[in-house]
Amino acid sequence: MNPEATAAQEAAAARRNAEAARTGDVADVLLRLRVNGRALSVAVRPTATLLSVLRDALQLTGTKCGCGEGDCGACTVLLDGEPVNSCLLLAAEAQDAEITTIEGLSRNGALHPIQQAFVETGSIQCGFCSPGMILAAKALLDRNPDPSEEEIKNALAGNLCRCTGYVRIIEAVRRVAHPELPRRVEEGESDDAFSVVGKSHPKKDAPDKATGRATYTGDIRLPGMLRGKLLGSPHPHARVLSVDTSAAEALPGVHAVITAKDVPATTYGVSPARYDEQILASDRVRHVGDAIAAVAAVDDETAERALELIHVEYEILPGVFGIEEAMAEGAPLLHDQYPGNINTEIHHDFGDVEAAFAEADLVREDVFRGQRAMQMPLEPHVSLARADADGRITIWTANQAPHYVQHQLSRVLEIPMGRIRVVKPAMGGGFGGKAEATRLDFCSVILAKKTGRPVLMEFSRRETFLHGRGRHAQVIRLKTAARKDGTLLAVHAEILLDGGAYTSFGIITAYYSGVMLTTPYRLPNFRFDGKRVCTNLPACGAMRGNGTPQPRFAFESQLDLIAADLGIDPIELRRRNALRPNDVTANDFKITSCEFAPCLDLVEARSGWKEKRGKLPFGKGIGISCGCFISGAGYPIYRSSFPHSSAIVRLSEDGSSATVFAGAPDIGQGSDTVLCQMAAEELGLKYEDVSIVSSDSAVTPTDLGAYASRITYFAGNAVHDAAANARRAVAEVVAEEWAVPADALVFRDGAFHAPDGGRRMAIQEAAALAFGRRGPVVGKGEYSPPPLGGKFKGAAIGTSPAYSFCAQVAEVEVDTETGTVRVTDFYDAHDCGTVINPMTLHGQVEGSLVMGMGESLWEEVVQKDGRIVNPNMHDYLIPTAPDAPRIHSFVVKSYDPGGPFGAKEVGEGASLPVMGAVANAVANAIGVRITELPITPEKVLRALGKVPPNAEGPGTAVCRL
Amino acid sequence: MTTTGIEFHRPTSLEEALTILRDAGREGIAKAGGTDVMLLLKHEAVRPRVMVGLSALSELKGIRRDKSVIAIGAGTTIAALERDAVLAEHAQGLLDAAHRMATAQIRTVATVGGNLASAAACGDLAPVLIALDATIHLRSAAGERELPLTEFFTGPRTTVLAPDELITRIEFPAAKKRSASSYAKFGYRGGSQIAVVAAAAQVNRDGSVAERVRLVMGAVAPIPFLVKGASVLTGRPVEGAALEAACAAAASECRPISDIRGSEAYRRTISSVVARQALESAWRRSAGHES
Ligand SMILES: Cc1cc2nc3c(=O)[nH]c(=O)nc-3n(C[C@H](O)[C@H](O)[C@H](O)COP(=O)(O)OP(=O)(O)OC[C@H]3O[C@@H](n4cnc5c(N)ncnc54)[C@H](O)[C@@H]3O)c2cc1C
Ligand code: FES
Ligand code: FES
Repeated sequence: MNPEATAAQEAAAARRNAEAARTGDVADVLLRLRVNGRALSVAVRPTATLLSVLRDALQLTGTKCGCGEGDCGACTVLLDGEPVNSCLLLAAEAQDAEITTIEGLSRNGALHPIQQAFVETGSIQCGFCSPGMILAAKALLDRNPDPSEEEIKNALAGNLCRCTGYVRIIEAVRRVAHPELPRRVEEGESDDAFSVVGKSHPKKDAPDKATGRATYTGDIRLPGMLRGKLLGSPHPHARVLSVDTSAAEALPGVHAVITAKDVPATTYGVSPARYDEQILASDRVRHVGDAIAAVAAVDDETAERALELIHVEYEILPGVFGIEEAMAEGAPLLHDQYPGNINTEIHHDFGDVEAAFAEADLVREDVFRGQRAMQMPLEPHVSLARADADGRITIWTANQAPHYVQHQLSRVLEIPMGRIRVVKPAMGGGFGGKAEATRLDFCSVILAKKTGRPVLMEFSRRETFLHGRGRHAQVIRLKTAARKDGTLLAVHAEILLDGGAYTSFGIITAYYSGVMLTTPYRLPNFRFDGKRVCTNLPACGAMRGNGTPQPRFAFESQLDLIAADLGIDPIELRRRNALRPNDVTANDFKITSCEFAPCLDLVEARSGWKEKRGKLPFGKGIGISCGCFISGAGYPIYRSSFPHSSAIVRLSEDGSSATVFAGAPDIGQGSDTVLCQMAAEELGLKYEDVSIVSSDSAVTPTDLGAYASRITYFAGNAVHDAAANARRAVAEVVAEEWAVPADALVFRDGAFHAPDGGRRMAIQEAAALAFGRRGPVVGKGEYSPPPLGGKFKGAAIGTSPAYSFCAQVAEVEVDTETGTVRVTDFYDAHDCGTVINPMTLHGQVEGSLVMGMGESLWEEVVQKDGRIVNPNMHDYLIPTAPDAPRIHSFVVKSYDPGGPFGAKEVGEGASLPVMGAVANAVANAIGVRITELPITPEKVLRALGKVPPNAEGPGTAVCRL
Repeated sequence: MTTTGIEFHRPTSLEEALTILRDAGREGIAKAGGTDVMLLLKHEAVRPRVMVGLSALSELKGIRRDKSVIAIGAGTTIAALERDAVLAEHAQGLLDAAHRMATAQIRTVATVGGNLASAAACGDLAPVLIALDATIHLRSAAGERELPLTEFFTGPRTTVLAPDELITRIEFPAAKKRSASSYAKFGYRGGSQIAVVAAAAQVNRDGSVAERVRLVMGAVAPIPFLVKGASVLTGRPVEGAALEAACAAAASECRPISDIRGSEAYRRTISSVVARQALESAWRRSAGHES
């Protein structure tokens, strides 16, 4: 092969060869397209989709791919002004039309009014849905300049967003139609305690995301870049007898094929005690999609053809596909090291549970079930690796915890961490599904080393399901004791989790499922028996709330049953048991700030609880549910002496601005924005004058990552510290200049003041002076929590330097003829300490509520004999714009002494109570309780006795349409 | 999806399209909006050698009213149905179905012909078109034929279409005064929903009673079917016991499957609910038309 050939030429040549091999002769065709007002010609395969032509041939990467199947709308472009899914359209068919992509919307650098409205209303979180959403909105507004709310929702029904809950997006479209509408005043918009903190600044990255300029990992195009793909097992459980890659290797355009023999045998995972995953399976596959080989080729099609040419001989083994099955006597075993398929077993016992049961006025025992669910960020996993000739590695990865990727790559590939640069570009959401190193990370690096070319590897939507890491299915048995007055005395929780084939985050998830039950109510006696079981399904992991939302659903459901048994109002029952500041739980969690009771009061008042509860007609209901979550985990995932978060703040030479360098990954949740706000506050600069470089290990110091709701608190403290140190460095020079002691200077309104009050020097001038005198003006900061928790096994899990609290009320309407549940309103009152940015805070709450609503009502991964039958966005149903309820999000006044500016978390906390709130509202509406998630229309009708009781339940067939 | 090696043609005349399809025989496939066919390709449910794009065939597009007959070209998009004034007056049920089908993006390109030819049991247009007494017109290089739409479907995802045959149009009588149609669709989630149970109704009213009622159920049998028991409504107002009897007939005549969207028993239970929604809506509309 001619080494000078560009990848593009080679791709074309390979394609023609492959085509010729199959059909004789189908050459590329020359297409003439009009894109964003420009006439272009491109030579492509006749059946190339418009999406691939836009992204690959024309490098217009603002158009995204979230599914490739017409379901998500991320690929939306306009064809003669009408919205279409470019993933389903052939470029050849778009030749007579005018194509508008997101890049064609802003003119002369100015944002289009729709883009502007999206930025200002906080409609952009991860931004992966934004280009498509904005174009769909444009098509609507061009046709109908003043659409009703319903028309907006319907027009956007084909654009899925997993982050925002749609409410701000709908508002943004209304604002374009009605620019005269006053700006929404966000709840919790701060009084004047701070000048930058507490204000609803638009997100730093929002304009780039609105215009399609933001570069996500899958948008990067490097010279000579190859595309990599994984070959997954078609069987849920099998022995791999032989793998023959010779035909694949011989296919023109294929650069490398690797199997287990080409990769280190070292296993990896999340928890060091259970590193049980192989980069490529050597002798055994344990779920459909478990990877056996990887290919790097000039383009996707060639890589896929190569996969088809790999011959694997399997010996099929019996599998287990459910908790009970896996635990049965003599069940097939997945791993020798987990006898009885028990991956993790937990026994906690605090206080005297038995004595409490004996003394109680009421003891209830109930069983609840939660389903396997998926995070479904709009952006599937993607990694791009490059190997330098001197052995240095660069990997761009859509990962929430780039530090752990670096750690695992270093460990497994035996390359020092310092020689591995991990960059997390713009990222399209994660919700816990992208919090660990994946096969894409390992294989892209290994293939890049082997081929000497950059290798890009992306999961298809289906592959994200086969990779798994979603919510564990759980069976939760709760035995709870209370006094007549409602005082909770004890809980014994027995929880079984279906973990799938590997451990992933599972040990941690299993612990979390139980240990957080000691919050947000006082509970003196607590026993927890947990088991995580292995099955021949993709591994489960750490989905938003990591293990805790389902037990919350169970416990909050049971609390309502207890309230009914005792004749106490459900909110009153909760108030009587609420945790208070400085409480210590039975399992040794030290509560610091806690405004939980005020959350209950607020949500009770704002939802009109007293006027509604018990007074609504049959079919309408109102329900309460609460939660508490950690603001960052007390301990890292693997033992390390590194600070949990660290940061550098550097003032520019002229003093005009500052840059934050922080490892903390912004995955769409907005951490870049709040970190800039904190630095600006501390430095006395304007928000606009602070920028951030985050998650690039070559320039940013380590941070453990975006999981456990830790960034605002942990990275916030590190940035706060770094900014304070930078300011101190400047102060020293000012003090020197004025010949006064540095600690006598007063810093106020962005300037240093001499102790006598006479002299004043603005931070900008002072920073320039400091650079001139002493060189770079930097401050560094770090944060690790103090030692926390008890001494028992598993005591670390659930510890945190601070806890957030919230109370939620849901209102539902149940159609008692079809069983359909519609959530009309959510009310959420949150104690998250000081609010750093009200707009992004409410955005987190809204997204959590709507995501939780989907999990409450529809979402479920359905499998038959180990095969997932709905691995797509068509049959795994996440909420759409028309489902968006009214959301009323409130904050209570609170200040955490250890948090940056007094802040705590919100990103996961708000997702905990949702399923309980919906379940309790449904029970209130129809007088019957559903104890298994999701609460589908069919379950509702069955609960109402309208479906013959012994009729079989839903099947696993899918009618594809 | 490897579409490598597929020849793609985009003829500009129907004649040419039919010739290419004839020559390709079983290795050929038509592609209209592609919202179904692209997924079949992706999931390797079909592996054609030749794909014929129909989107440039103006002969297949458009909605015409010729006296008492309405003709819809097979290449007409769902979005075009939604915006058509003739249909708004004479086939409201078809508009109900169009509005609630898929997403704005899909409706821009998805066609009537593609929806019928794909013949999914839960497809949205067939029930209404059957309720409207539609006939379907087919053409191949060898000739033309037409048949009642009821005879077009042979099972889930199968029809009488020959590999080289295209749907050219469907025709149905324009609604007379005092007649109206409707479509009720039950699915999960607010947007982009697939029918779990669907019902279409067409009512001809004679004063305070129905002169003729056609009730068609979708998604609850291998193919959409006319509910025989709906004949109890003939000569009666669409209300009360007769309405209940017609709805009960919908439930007892259906043959649903259990799939991930619902069990057989659940589908059967709500069949009567959805049937009632369709009948009541058509009945109400027929009153409006009287004025
Ligand atoms: C996200 C999504 C949501 C959807 N939601 C719905 C929904 O709510 N309701 C619904 O009913 N459908 C739905 N569909 C399915 C599909 O969009 C429709 O059936 C659509 O009408 C198909 O039309 P098309 O023009 O795209 O067909 P194509 O994909 O082009 O073709 C479909 C089939 O019809 C054949 N064909 C097309 N035109 C002709 C012709 N003139 N003569 C003979 N054969 C022909 C093709 O060969 C192919 O076999 C959905 C699809 C997607 C991807
Ligand atoms: S990528 Fe086209 S709809 Fe999802
Ligand atoms: S902002 Fe919509 S998917 Fe992330």
